Amino acid sequence: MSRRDIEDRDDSRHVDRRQWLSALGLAGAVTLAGCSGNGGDGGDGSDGGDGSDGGESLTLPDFPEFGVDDLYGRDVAHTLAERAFEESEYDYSFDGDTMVNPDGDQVEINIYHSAGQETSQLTADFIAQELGQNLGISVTVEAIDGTRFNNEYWTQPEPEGGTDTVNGEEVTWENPTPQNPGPRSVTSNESWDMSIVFGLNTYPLNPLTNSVFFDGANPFYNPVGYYPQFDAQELFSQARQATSTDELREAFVEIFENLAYEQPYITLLFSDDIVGYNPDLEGPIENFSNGWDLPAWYEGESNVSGSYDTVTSARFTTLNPLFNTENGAGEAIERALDPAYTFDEEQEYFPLLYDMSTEDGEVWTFDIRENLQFSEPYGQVTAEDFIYLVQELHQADWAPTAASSSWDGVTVEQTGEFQFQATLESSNILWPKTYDPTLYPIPKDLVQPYVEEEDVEGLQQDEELLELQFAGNLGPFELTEWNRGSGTEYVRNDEYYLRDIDEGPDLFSEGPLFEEASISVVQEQASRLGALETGEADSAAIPPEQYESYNQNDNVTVRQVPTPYNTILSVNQRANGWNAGPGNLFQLVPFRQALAAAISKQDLIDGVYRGLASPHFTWQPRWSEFYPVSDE
Amino acid sequence: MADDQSLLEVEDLTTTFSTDNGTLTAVDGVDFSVDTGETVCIVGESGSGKTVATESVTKIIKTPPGQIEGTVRYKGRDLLSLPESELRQVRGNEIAHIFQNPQEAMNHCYTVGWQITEALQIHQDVSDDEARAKAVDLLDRVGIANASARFDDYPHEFSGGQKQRVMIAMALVGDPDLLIADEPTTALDVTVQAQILRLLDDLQDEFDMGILFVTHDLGVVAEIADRIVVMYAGKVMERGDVLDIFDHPGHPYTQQLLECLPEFGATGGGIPGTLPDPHDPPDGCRFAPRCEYAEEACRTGEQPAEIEVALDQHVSCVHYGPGGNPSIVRSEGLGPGDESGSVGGDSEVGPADD
Amino acid sequence: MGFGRYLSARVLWAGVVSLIIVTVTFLMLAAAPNPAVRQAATQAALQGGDPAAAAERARELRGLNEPLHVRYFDFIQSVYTLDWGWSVSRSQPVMEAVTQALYYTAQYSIPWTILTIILGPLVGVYSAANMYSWKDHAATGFAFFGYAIPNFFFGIILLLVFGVWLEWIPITYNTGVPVFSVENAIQLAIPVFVLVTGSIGAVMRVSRNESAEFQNADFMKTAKAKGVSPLRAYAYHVMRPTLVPLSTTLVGQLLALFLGASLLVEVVFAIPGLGRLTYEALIAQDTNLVLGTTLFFTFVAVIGNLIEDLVFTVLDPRISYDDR
Repeated sequence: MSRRDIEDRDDSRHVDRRQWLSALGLAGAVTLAGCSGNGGDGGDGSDGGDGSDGGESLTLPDFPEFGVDDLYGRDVAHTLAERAFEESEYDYSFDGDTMVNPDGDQVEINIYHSAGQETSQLTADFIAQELGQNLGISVTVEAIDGTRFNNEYWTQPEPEGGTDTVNGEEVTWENPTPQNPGPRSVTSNESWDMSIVFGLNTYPLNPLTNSVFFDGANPFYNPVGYYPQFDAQELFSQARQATSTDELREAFVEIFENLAYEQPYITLLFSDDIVGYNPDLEGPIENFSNGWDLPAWYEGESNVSGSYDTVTSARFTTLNPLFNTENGAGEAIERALDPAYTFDEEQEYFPLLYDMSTEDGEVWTFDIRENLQFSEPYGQVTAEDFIYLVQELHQADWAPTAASSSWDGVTVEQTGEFQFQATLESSNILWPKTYDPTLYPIPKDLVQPYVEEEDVEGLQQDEELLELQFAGNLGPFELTEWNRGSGTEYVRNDEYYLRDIDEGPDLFSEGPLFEEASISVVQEQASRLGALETGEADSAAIPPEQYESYNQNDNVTVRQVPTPYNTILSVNQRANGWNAGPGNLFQLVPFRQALAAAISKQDLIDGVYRGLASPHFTWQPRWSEFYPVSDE
Repeated sequence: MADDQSLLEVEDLTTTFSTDNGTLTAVDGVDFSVDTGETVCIVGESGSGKTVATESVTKIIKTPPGQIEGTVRYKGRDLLSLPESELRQVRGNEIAHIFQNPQEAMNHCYTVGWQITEALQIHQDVSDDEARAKAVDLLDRVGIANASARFDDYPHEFSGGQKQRVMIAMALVGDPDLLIADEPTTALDVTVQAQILRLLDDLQDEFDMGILFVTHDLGVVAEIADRIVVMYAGKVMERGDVLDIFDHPGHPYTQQLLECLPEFGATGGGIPGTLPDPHDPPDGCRFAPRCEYAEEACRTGEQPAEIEVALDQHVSCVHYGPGGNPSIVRSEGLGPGDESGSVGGDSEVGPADD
Repeated sequence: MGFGRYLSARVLWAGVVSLIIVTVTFLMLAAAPNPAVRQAATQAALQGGDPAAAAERARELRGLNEPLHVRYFDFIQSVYTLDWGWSVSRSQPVMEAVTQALYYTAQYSIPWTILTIILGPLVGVYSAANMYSWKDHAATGFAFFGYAIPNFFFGIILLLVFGVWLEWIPITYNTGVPVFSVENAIQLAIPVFVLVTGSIGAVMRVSRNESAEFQNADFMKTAKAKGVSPLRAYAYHVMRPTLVPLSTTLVGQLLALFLGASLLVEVVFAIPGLGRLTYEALIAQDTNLVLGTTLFFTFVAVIGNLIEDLVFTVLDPRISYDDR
């Protein structure tokens, strides 16, 4: 078994692709050889150093399987931590099992969790215990209100900007934000060490979104003061300019390999959404884009019958497709008005209103279906409607539509009655996955009077738009009532265009397979669950702590839906982080690795998350096409 | 006094209350009677059981905690054994009450007219108009000026004396044969007192009622009473014709009460000492602890039996009984009143409210 | 001063009070930055335009550059003509939002109020009539239980028992059923029960204490001496004076309960009523709707106080019109 000492790589800027692949192979071999049977014993069979002697280092396999199996445990963590001590200009060390600062006192740091959230508290307790056992750090667990944490610890209300040397380069914060107020010396009001108050969306469909984290001067997401030690900006720019999926994947994989190595946040897990369904319901799949094929769902027999009723916690602000920005209202709109496209369970583009194609990622052709009808008097949906929508509304200065920012710098041009073209400023083969080019069909004649008057309020308050009266055959159901307080009700749309398309499940030809549908606003979780249990609702989200009871309940079928939302341990790499002594050890990659190696993800998932989560290694979930493993 | 049948005959009336501290005996075996057209006064200090005795007659005290024993014969019927519903027909209709404080005794939420007619209409089947006519007539009769307009006024719009007049009207509306007036003038101004007393006197003749009048004010007694019953600590000390008793008070207690009257040269002191604890009354004569003539015999056994000392004048005192010497108490000297000026008794006879 | 004049004076005063409140509201709004203007400026900044010009344009569009008194009279006019603007968080006119919510709130709050007003004093007087007996303790215990247990928690428990286990009542409130229908009665039974138990406690205690005072009053002895039966005595002589202090407590208390208690119950039972409307308006920072609900409650409070005053004088004749 060959292993590399990770000390060799300390000054390498980034892990290249070949290293990653070979490392993968190694990890696989380790697993096959059964050497990882004891997760707690990282140093099996190697040079036997137990780390606490300080002088000797454990020989460790290389990244990417960081923090799991044979890279978990006290010995691994000690070895990594000692590397950090060497890098540090201050004299940290282990005194037996205890990590001590230059004064010889035990290292004491704190961790914040969300007040009142049991899972959050248990996670923090678990982390504290693991860091105590495996690194000899004394961790104080403290609860904090999320809003307060955000305002006083996470952000800096008046960002100062400034310059700093990042990886040998001078970086200037020209547009500092509260989240990234400037160099590491510019910090939040309150000092803090570690936090699990906030998690992140990893954007598996469009990981380019993550680039904001690394832009140095303009990011949203770097409140911890992390400076990448690889050229993140360059890699993201490669990804942005990629013209093929392979190029794209290559860039992303390299980014995510490096993130797995550097652990800007200590990645822990992706928790699953738990959704309960009526057991008679056929169709739901355990999938990230759950529900894309709703028109093929049915209850009992596969004929048109019954009602599909769901519950939601939040009211809808508006059902006007031009202005809606809410997830819940989006769902309510899409019961009656299909969006332009969706993604199937493989995260593949599935055309609804139009198909998109491109040669180079820069010029995109939109082919509109020819069987799309608005309600009378607006007639057939044509390219003209979409062009008008983009040019006169989304790209107009006076109209603050929800999609305004999506069409900045995009040139659209009609190329046929049912075809138009969009030219991007620079190529982006992920464009559909950003959801930017999705458009709701809106009749030109309906909005034209408002456009001529530049009447925003009229447009926002137009009843036909608010009540989706123009939807014609464009949605599976027709909206019959929107009660502002209690939700929406629908009846089946007998003319639904999707029945005549060639793609998708066979059952689309008869869809939707319900006579009626409704979405009820029920704010109280217990009431939503009660509705699910008694069959008044066909689906509802289930809180993880009740997974067991509903899983055993015959009236409910429970599905685990993976999510891209992670649970991470944020370590404050800014000047006011690390309150255990001089020098912020969090700024050192080996130290962050040591933290990661000290926490057992699987134990956390089993113990706190009831197994309803998957381990988190890098900034993508396993099912993302940019997850390094899929590259094997 | 008719020998055959009195309007009201009370025998061995005993009223007790169960309290947290044991049984309280407020009235202990009291007899008295009232004839038609006659005014009988029950006198005594505050707390001597006068009010309880009169309220026991029609059982308007709360039972429980109160418990009433003995016999109350009204026109030959034993009221205490009547069922509550029949007793209600007697109350307000045949036997009416007037209370001490007219301010409190009327419900401030209803017009006086409503309250007067209520008493009539729950007993008799009369129309609203008839009831109103009768009430207005009565209001007029008791001396309320502009009665038909004032019918719709509320109690707070009347003065104290007027309120008591209204109360009297309210009591008379059912044409009662017996009126029980419990210190009806105590809360009133002296000049108004006299008017009310005169009114009652007039009305008694007009309605031919018996009046059972409770007071601690012997001055009032002198004015209206035909007969007196002197009560002390739940027991009758002395009874008899008003003139006889005023002239020759038999019981030391009666004597001392009379001494408190200004006409008798009282200096405003009062009777020294306090009423005995009603939970645990003393043996023998109840008054013995405060009696200047008390002897050993006074402090043992029961309250002495009533002795007829003169025609129809009965006294419950050892000194009048067998082996007693009435002359001990029958001295003409009005006793130790001279020295009472400096004694601040806990309980004084005077314009106290009961 | 007669009752008629008193009444008109009170109504007039109520009008003045509401005008003062509306004026203060206007002044505070005028002093506060307008979110629509701010939004326009942000929008312009994001799109590379000139924020100042956009803000100016937005102000002009909304008539915000008119002189203050012109805006004031416009405001007063629209308030009193019930033109309360557009609710951006619900995408409907504010007046429509308020009436819609009121429609659902009224369906449970009217039975709730009636039951509280009837049962509260009844239980209280009953309790006082049987003071310190087991009946009193049972009634007091019941009242305290309802008072002490949080409405939303009690609601959830009952929903669990009757909705989920027994399935007698629906979990999700159905806005589609007619107001006077068995379905509506069934779905409102538990919310009304929860609210009544919650509010009856205070009313019951007040009336118990008040009537305990009155049942030992001298006029009760008078009534008894008149031959009035105990039932009639309680019904007329105790209940009536008890209602006087109670009426003041009741109106204020019900108003206070209206928002607080009903919000949580509306959340639990998913009733789209006024409590939720107000709460959500605040959360969503929907200025027009916040204003609308505030004005609504202001008017309700003003009218409630007016009614309270009038009821007070009617119930207690000792209150002089002149003094107030």
